Amino acid sequence: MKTIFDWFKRNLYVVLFLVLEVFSIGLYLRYHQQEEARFLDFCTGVRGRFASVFGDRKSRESLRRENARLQEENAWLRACMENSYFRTSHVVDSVSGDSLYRQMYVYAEAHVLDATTRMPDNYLLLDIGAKEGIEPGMAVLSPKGIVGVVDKVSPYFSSVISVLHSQSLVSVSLASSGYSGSLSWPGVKPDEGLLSDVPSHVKVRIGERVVTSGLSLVYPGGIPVGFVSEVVSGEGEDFYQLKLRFSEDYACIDKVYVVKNLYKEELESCKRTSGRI
Amino acid sequence: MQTYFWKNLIRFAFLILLQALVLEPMPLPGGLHAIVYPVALLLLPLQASPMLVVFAGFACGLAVDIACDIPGLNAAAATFLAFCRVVYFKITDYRDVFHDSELTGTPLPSVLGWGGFLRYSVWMLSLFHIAYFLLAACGFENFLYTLWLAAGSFCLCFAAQVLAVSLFAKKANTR
Repeated sequence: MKTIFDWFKRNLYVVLFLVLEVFSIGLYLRYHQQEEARFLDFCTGVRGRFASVFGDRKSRESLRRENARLQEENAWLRACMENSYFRTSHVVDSVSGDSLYRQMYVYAEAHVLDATTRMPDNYLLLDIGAKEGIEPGMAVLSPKGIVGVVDKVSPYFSSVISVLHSQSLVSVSLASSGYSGSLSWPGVKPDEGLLSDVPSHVKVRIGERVVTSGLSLVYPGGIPVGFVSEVVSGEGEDFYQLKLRFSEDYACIDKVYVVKNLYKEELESCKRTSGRI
Repeated sequence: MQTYFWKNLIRFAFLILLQALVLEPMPLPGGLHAIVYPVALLLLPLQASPMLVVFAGFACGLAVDIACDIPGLNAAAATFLAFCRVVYFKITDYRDVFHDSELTGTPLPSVLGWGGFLRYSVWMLSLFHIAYFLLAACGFENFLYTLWLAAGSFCLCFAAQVLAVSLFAKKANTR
């Protein structure tokens, strides 16, 4: 106590300085509203910076939770979309008490644990597996486009053959005309695919949207795939070869949806019976 | 002792009136200010007590504020200068100034030497001008412009002080 008192006695001028300085600055700000406003702006900025640094962790947690909730909501909404249903009755005169449409696709959200894009054959690893009903052959979509097809499944994880795979072949169509073709990946750039078998009489323009055709049992129809970036084939050929720029950036995929076709077995059985498989 | 008191009081009054009546209304290019009243604080007697120096700084600044109708700005800057002056003499080679009977009177070249006097003036005036213009700007927006104003005004003030000391204190400048 005596030491503190002695220190104060020796350095009383510091206390006097602080008191007079605070008084002067207060006087200055009190009589100059513009400067006071600027000072308050500055203080708010400093407070905001501190809050953003220390509140960053808290807001990251809440963003993560919100993201998960939105992902779940997206899966539910996708299941409600028109292309997730098929029409049960095509007879105009029939009256049915049931709905005309039946749910065909359901979506399960998943997180990408690992992905490659630079290899000749690329794969992804998802954090969802057989325990949640995932089976080989299911389509995988992202918010922006198609991702691939489930290849192997373990109880809690699954491996996906990416669209960026030498064996990948997806049935797609031009959004404007509906003419379909086959999408493959030539193995050159991770953002470029090759669309083949589009009849050459079809008018194709650069920038045209390409979507899934819905003709396969895997992908629902109308899912964005990319945009036509270049017409490769020459004149006189029967079919186009079109370069396509993917709508999804496969180098930074995080959240995906695995699509379950509820009528896959029935459709495959029909195909077998008709001799197509 | 009484001589020092009246000398300093007259110096204070003269510089405050000069500042308020002549220099403040005078427009300078580039938005510069000519601020000379800090010289009064710099030339306070070496053995003035720290409490007196700080209070004198506040009083001087407040007087300029009242005369120029800018409440608080000069008082804050001058109080800060006075505090820096006390700290400067405590931490530099002149830390024994309060106890050294050889070092008395006004901190002029005759007492501190030209090198010591210039060093002391540069430190004190630059700290004063930076504090003054930062407070006037109330933040760090246009920081470079604030620095430009501080540097320009410092040069004017420093030149005025050296000129005044050279011309009016010729006898005391030889050591």
